Formats: sequence, C-alpha cells, structure tokens
Amino acid sequence: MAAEERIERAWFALCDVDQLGDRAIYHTELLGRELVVWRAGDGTFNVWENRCPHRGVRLSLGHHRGEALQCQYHGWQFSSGSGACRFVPAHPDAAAPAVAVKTWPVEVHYGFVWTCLVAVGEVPPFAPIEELEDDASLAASEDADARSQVRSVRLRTVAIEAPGEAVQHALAGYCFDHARFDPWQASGCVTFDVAPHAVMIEQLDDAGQRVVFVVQPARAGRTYLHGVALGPFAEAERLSVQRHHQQRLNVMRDALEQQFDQREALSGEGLADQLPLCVPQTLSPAQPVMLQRSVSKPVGAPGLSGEKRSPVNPDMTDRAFDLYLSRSRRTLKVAAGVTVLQTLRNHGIDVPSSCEQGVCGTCRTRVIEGTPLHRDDFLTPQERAAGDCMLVCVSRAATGTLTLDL
Amino acid sequence: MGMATMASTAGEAMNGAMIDEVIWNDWHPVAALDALDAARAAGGSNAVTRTRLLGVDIGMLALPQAGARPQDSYRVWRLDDQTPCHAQARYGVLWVCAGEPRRDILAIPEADEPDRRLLHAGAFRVHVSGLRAVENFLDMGHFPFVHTGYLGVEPYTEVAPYRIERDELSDELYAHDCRFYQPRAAMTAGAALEVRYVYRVARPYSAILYKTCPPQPERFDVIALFVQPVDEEWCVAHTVMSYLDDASSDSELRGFQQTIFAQDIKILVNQVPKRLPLGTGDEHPVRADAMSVAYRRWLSAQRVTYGTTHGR
Repeated sequence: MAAEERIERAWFALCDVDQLGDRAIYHTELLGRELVVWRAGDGTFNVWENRCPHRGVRLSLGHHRGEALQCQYHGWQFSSGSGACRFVPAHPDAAAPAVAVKTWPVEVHYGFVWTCLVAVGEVPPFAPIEELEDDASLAASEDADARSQVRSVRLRTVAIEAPGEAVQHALAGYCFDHARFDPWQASGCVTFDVAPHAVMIEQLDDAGQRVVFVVQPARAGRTYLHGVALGPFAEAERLSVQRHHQQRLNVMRDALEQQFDQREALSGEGLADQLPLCVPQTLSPAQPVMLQRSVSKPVGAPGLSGEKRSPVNPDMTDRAFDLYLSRSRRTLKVAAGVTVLQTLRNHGIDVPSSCEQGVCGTCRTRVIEGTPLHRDDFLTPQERAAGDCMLVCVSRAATGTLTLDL
Repeated sequence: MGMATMASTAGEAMNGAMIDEVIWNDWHPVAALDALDAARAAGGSNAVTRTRLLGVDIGMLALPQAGARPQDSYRVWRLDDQTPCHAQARYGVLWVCAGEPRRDILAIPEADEPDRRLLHAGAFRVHVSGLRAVENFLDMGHFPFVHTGYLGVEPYTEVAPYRIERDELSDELYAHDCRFYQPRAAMTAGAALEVRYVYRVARPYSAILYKTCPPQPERFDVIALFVQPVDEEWCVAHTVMSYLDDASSDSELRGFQQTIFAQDIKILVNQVPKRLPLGTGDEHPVRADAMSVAYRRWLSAQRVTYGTTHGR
C-alpha cells in the first residue's frame, strides 16, 4: 500500500538524548519492531534491533560496556557503529564469528534520536521541522545572549495505549496555557500539521505560546508521544512547563485509552474456566496399551566413558593436499595449517560462513571425489560416512586430492 | 482472544494445523504427583486438578486406592468431551499421552538405585516454547552470566570442547566430556570445582543431566527437565532430581534448584521469537553450542514443528 510505504520510509523520533547518559540502554518500539538506543563512550549514537543474533535474547537486558553492548545470556559483545560481534566469552582466544546485530540509520535533531526503518542505500534524507529548526539554530548561535535564553523545553515522553493515527487526531483538540499557571483554564488553541508525524499547537492569545508534538507509532495500539514546548522561558519555569503539559497529556491519554481498551486473555487459562470441572460419570482409565519398554544407554561415570577417541594419525592431521574445483575447473593447493575456507578465499572464491568453528553448517560444501577428513561438530555419523559433503572451515582431506562442487 | 478453538481429537495446534504425530503420541508431564496427592488430601475424592497440554484442557484426579501400584491411582480426561487419556506415574510426575502411545516413557535406570532420593523441585510456568527451555538446559555457556556465583563466574567463561554422540537404537542424543569451572555447583560443594557433566536428550521435550557428585565422585547426581508443552508458546517446566546427597534437606535442594531456574526464566521470557526458529538462519551458533545445534537437527530429523516457528 502506497500510504503505508510512505510511513515506513519516514524518520521517527525514538527518545530524548538525555535518556542516554550513564551507560543507559533505552528500550523502545517502532512500527512493531523492538529497538534499543544507546550512546557509546565516544558519543556515537546507536539504534539496533533489540535481539541478540546468537539465541534471540533481548539486548535491553544486557550491559553497556562503553564501546560495545554485552548480551546478558552468554556475554557476547557487539561493537558500537557496526553492531559486529567482537568477543565470545565461551571461546575467549578465538576470533569472533562473523555475526552482527541488525542496525538502523541514526540521526540526532532537536534533542531527540531519530531512525528510519529502511535498508542502507534507500534511506530518505531527514525532513527538518521548521518550527524546531529555528530553536536549534538559536541554540547554536554566536550571540551569547541568544544562547542563554531557554528557548525550548523538551517534555517527558508519554506512552499511550492507542494507535498513532488516533493520537494525532486527538491532538487536534489539545489545549494548554502554562502562562497562566492554571492547568484547567485555557484560551483557544489551534493545531497545525508541521510534518507527517508532527503537529504544532499554538495559543491564540497575545502570548502565542507553541508546543510541537512528534508521534512515534510503537506498534498496533501503542504510541509514544514526544513534545517540545517553544519559549522563551525563564530557567525557573522549566519544571512548571513540563508539569503543565504532563497533566494535559495524561487527560488526553486516559480518554484515548478508554476508547481503545483491549484485554487479552492469558494463555493457559480462561477457556478452561468455562469447562465443567466435575468428575466424568464413567471414570475409566484409557484402554490399556502394550508398550515397548524404553531402554537408555548406561551413562558411565564422567571421566571413565568417552576415552574412545581414535588416536589421530599425525600424518593425517594438517598436511597439504590438492583441491580441484569441478565447476570452475581450477586446482588449488591447500597448504598445511591453512583451512580450505581460507584457501578458497585467498583465490577469490567466496563460500558462505558464520561460526568458522565447524558447528553451524553454513559452509557445508558438496564433495564430488576424494575422501574428506571431518573435523566438525555438525554432521551426523551417517553424513560423515557418506562422504559427499564437508564443512570447509575446519575439515580437510584424507586422500591426496579432493574435488569440490565449486 | 487467546485460545481460538478447542483442539480436535486428532490434535490441532493453535493455527489449525495438525500437531506432529511424534509429539501428539508422546508421553508428556502434566503434574507433580505430590501436588495431586495433596489436592486429594485437602479436597477429598472429587478434587479435580486441571491443566492444559498441547492446547487441550485436561482434568486429573488422584484416586484413594491404598496399596495399589502408583500407575493405577490417577485418572486423566479431556475436559471438552470427557474422553479418558492414557496416564502413568513415574519419576514423581504424572505423564499423559493425548493420542496413542507408540513407546513407553523414557528410562532413567539410575533413579531406581536404592540409595537415591527422588525430588520434584517444582513446576514453573513460562511464557516461551518448551523447546527453548530444553535448549537452555543443555547449554553451559550461560553459567557465568546467568547463574553468577553458582554454576559459573567470570573470567572462567571458556567452554571446552565436548563430544556429541547419537544413540541410534533409542534415537537419543548425548553430550559427553562436558566440564565447567563452578564456584558452587550443588548444595554439597564446599568449594569451587571443575564439574563434569553428561547431557542427554531423550525426547523433544525431555532432557537429563548427569553431574559430578562431590561426596561420591565416581557416581553422579541426576537432574531431569521434563517440559509440559501447554501450547506452542507456553510451557510448564518440571524439574526432577535423583540425588545421592544425604546431607541436605529436601527443601534446601529444592530451594537451590528453584534459585537456578528463576534465573533461567528471566532469560527464557526474553527470547524473541518465543518459538524455536528451526531453519531460518536468524540465530548463529559457535562451537560451544554444538549440543544445541545437534538438538535442533535432531528435532528436524523427527519432523518436530510444534513449538517452532514452522520455518518462518
């Protein structure tokens, strides 16, 4: 749908930059995707998918390590900027696997971190919001006097359990008047759309106070609302301005949430409550079945079992061999101590890989001739015996030549 | 709007698809025997306990038959149409088959040794696919981060290589030669040890670990995780222990196991997606995950899709 695409390709505000001090990991959602926002020690802002690529645990549970985030499950660390894994504690001396957290583009404007959920290369330019631009340029002004005035106050983000369109619609009726310190009396206000997801509300009286709201559609039925009250204000007024809008927004939120009240039944309950719980009239056991007894292998005491690894023939371990590639008709020499994967890469042949430790199966390649020497932890004994594939990141050849389907 | 329709007798999953035969016809834990006996003691012969298995609501009753064999003393039936279900009591747990059982409940011969205590450490309801709970049970890499000070501690984070074995006869998976440095591995461990483990996956939703027993190093304690698949995104984890320890009380052992499991729950409920992603390429293992990779391949080989993302 064209309208939906327009929404998807826009920039959305996620959080106030002030939320990102002190090693914070800010957890939020945009258009149904969970995100984490954090600022590295060197000032770089990051917007990442809130999911560790190892076993899917939310990164928001983890720790901010300065230039990396650490996942709480296995302690994997991911570098600021690229999101690339830089350390796996289970294998502290090995190179980190070629795995990265999904990252999203980041921009910072008007004191908020913004993102756009599109792929690299398709990112539209950030569309400035004029009313907030003026304020931003004054903040950067050469004139010390201009800089010293408090021109805008960022409001606390409000979470509303209602869809983004409904929130934006309700803002058309938003009214405020912090000049008069009476939260319940207000002069007339008028609302303008200043961007696809931002509105400005202006008082009609002489004071002409304005506030800009930016809408963040978190997911179906949930919206976060960010706001900037435009001044000038005295420094001492900052708190009362925030409080004033907070009260007004709470009223708007409560009205919206009542309108969109949804209750989800907890799984595992609910339906069972409606079923009769009396004992059935004929309380018979199910028809008896003859069952084959389960047998388990005896588990030998640890340390006594498993010393059955066949002794490794030192001749076989790391010696060089020839590699013939059937499709490209090339012969390569695999040197002792260099993996097949590395040899292929050195010759410009790219085989997909991930763990490079023989466990994930990504680099599995078909073997046409020759006998592979399996060193992996992935193939089953049958697959090994069949000898028609191998994991090129760790395995080698038992014969002098190996032919691969590459 | 949680559960849509009742499951048919043939076994439908939440989305209307048929439940895998291997899962539908397997034995699954549904209650701790202690809990059912206590319900009878408190509420009399009509005290029905209810639960949900594979999306089907069932009722359970402990019968007051003194002297009878344990497996005769429990009745289980579907709450929607009153049809009886196969039920057997074993290892401190009531096992139920919603379909027709093809083989018996998994065997743990060690549990029958006379000098062991069988202990049900509690049933924990978790909002995640039971397959994720089993995979977590098989993993050692998380010990220093999730069970800090108990089963692991930084900087002793390295997972040494171990050996995967497939028992072709019973179609079960083993991980041998597992070892990990633990500050306080069990109630009986006075100081830090390098603990030796053997892991075993007997059924898609059942795993057992065999662990060094400090007072008797040539034998081991057995800890079993029997997972009840409530539906594809909810499970109840029954932890059962067969211990050699005669120094700690039941409640001390239970308490220790519950501390450990509570730490795992915090991780399990934060895994995305809740179902196990089989064959999607979204999750990337390293060598320490060899057993988890073998488990996922083993599930695929048995055509298990219940509790997975169904390839999506």
